[in-house]
Amino acid sequence: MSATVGAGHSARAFGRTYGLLTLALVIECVVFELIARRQGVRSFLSPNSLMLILNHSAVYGVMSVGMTFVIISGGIDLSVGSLVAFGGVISAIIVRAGGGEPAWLWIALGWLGALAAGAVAGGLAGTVITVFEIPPFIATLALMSSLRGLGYIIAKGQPISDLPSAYTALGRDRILNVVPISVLVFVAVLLLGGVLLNHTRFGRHVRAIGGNEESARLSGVNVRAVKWWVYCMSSVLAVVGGVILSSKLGSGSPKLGLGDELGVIAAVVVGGTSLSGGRGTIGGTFIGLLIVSALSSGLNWIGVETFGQQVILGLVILAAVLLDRFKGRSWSLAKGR
Amino acid sequence: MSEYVLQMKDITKRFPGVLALDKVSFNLKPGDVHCLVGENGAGKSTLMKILAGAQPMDSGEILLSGEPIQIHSPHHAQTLGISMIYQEFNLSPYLSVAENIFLGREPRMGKTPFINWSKMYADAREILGRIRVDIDVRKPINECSVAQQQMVEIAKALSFQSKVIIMDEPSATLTEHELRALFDLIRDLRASGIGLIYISHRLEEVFEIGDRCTVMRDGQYIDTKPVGELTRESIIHMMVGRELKDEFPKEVFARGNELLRVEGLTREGAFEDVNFAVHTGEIVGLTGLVGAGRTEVARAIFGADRFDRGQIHLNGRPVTVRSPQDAIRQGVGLLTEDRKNQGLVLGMSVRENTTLANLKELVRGLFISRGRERSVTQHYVDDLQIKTPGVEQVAQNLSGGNQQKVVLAKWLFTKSRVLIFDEPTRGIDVGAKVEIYKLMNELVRQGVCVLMISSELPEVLGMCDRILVMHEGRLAGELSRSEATQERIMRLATGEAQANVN
Repeated sequence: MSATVGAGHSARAFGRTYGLLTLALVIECVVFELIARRQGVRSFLSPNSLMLILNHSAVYGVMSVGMTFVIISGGIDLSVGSLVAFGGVISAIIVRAGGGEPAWLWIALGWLGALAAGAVAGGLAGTVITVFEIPPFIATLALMSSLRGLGYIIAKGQPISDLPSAYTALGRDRILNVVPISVLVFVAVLLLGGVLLNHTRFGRHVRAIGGNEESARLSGVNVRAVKWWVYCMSSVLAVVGGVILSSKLGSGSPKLGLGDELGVIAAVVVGGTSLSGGRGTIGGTFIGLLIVSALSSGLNWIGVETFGQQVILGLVILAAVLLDRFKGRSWSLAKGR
Repeated sequence: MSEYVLQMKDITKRFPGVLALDKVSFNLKPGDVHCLVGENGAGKSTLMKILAGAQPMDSGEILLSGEPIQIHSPHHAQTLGISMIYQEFNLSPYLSVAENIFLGREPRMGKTPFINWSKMYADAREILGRIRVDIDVRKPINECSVAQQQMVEIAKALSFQSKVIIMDEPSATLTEHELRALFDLIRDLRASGIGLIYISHRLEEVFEIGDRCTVMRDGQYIDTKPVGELTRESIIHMMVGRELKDEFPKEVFARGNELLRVEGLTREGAFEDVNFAVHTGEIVGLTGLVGAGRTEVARAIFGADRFDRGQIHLNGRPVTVRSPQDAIRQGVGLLTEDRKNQGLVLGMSVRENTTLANLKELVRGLFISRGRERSVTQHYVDDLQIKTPGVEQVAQNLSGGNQQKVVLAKWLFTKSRVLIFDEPTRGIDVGAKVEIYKLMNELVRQGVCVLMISSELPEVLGMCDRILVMHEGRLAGELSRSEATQERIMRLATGEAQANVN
């Protein structure tokens, strides 16, 4: 009895939080399907193409989980695009330096090295933001520039290739020939992120800080420590994205990830996370990500050029933010102020 | 020509739930320094904001030089000849003195959009010369002293050919020497026929500079008299003269152990050498005028702000409190004056706000136990009779009294033994106030000690066992429940009297 009530309650809660977004995603896919049929190209809504979208989303997906925490805490992280390149370069250069024998050991060391480098970069950003009270926008903008340059210097301006073939397993292999490993990593990060945000003190503190930093501080929340971990986590996850991408490509290139920070922020915002902080969900980010990925896949599918795609993506971001404002307004109107 | 430069008749202003001004009248003669006094919340600021165009009135009439006027905006008020100099100046920090004086009215080269700098500087020098102030007109405002900034504000008011200048607590941030200079200037302005309205909490200034004095209380006009016919006692009596009704359900308990002791607490520029103790079984009031340093002391005890010297003892042991976390761990809770911006996370639910300060109590393994969290919150909702549709309601949607109860629930859940209430009933309607007072009684009965900061003297007199009064960052005196009266508190708060502390 109470279980049914519980299920009904959580279904309503799901509808309230994700209903509009899910609807938008479904409409989007149906529209692409209809256009595809009219044009007589292959069906857009096939299991295969959906897996393609997921696979395509894996890099952004991992990054967007970290970004969701950052934005809910009331901050922003512009360095994630550069961290994609930086992480890929570090991991590739370690693997190549190892000379390939035994491959699995050096690959593991490469990945760990990249993650450690990401943690250092994120820790640095977190320190600058919390101890020196530099606005996150500026701190991560500086990091974005420096890391991009550092990636080029380490890689001597060239992609680092000639890696052992096992290097591409993470990005290209599929479990049982169906599910790409990168999608599994993405889904695991997503689930862990959701649990962290909703079921731990850390997640609650992140939301409290984004909602009202002073109230949180006066409630005994260690604001500095929480924010520091948020930036550290975002950087590490960006590096995970970078490692996946370099594994897909079989090389580490300092050019990768250019502008990714904007794509990731777009997915998070489309997913209903408020840029002013305090409000947002990992589930929303997931759907936002699918909306953005399906948009570019779908537009490709029906033959819209890259430039047209950028225009449409811009409009979708604008629409999402307007929707968010509208929701915020009706929320305060309901209060009757 | 009318006898008065300014007449305000039957001004009424209503805020949600409060009648801020109830048919208040106020008349100003040219060449007069007219002091406006009253307790915090008496309605002085509201009346002056209406006059300066910062707030609309609900009904009433304003006459300037005998002509009825409608004031639409602060800028409109200035062009009519009414300027207000706020405690917090309205100056742009990185613009020069001259640019600030003529902001929005810069002299231009003919009809072109280009600024005529030489004329602007010359005009600014001329105005500053008139009030005998020597400042470089090209100096950025943020490099000027507070006194110089005030002079720039006055120069700006003069540049509008003001007939009426309102000064809100102009002496609050000035040194004694600067205050002398300000008074000289005010005498000059008076001689030139400008009407000045002077708001101050320091009664000695009323007697030094004022010609006439109007007293307000609880949004009502009380009386206007020439300063010569007044004494400090008569002004204080007019400011506070009201009867206490039985809206304070005070229960007296036996005083127990000392829980909180503060010794020599000092922060330069905010408060100095503050000493007091609070015991179980008592509610201690901390009162004084706005800006006397009460909230600063409370925040220092709670670790929200640092202090320079002094020692805090809890339960008889010296403790180090560097952050709110430390204070909470030691059993101290602070209900801030500003509930919305400092007490609650408005976008979070009643449940999340209630448990925020003590989540570790609810963590099982790695995760917060949602079920326990709900039942704990429900317990407090029932216990404190918080009126909410449920524990998931967003705090934003509750009334002020219920929001205050949620903040209280948060501190009860941390098992606080020392609770500091800062203006606990501000903005709360009468019924909810009584409920809050009853909860305080209940807390004291359970062995919590309460330090209550309040500007509302009836509340302080009605609920406190002892009353500490602050004046300009120092404890001016301590009064027991039996010896305290509004007059005695006001005498201490205005610095007129000093009593023995402890």
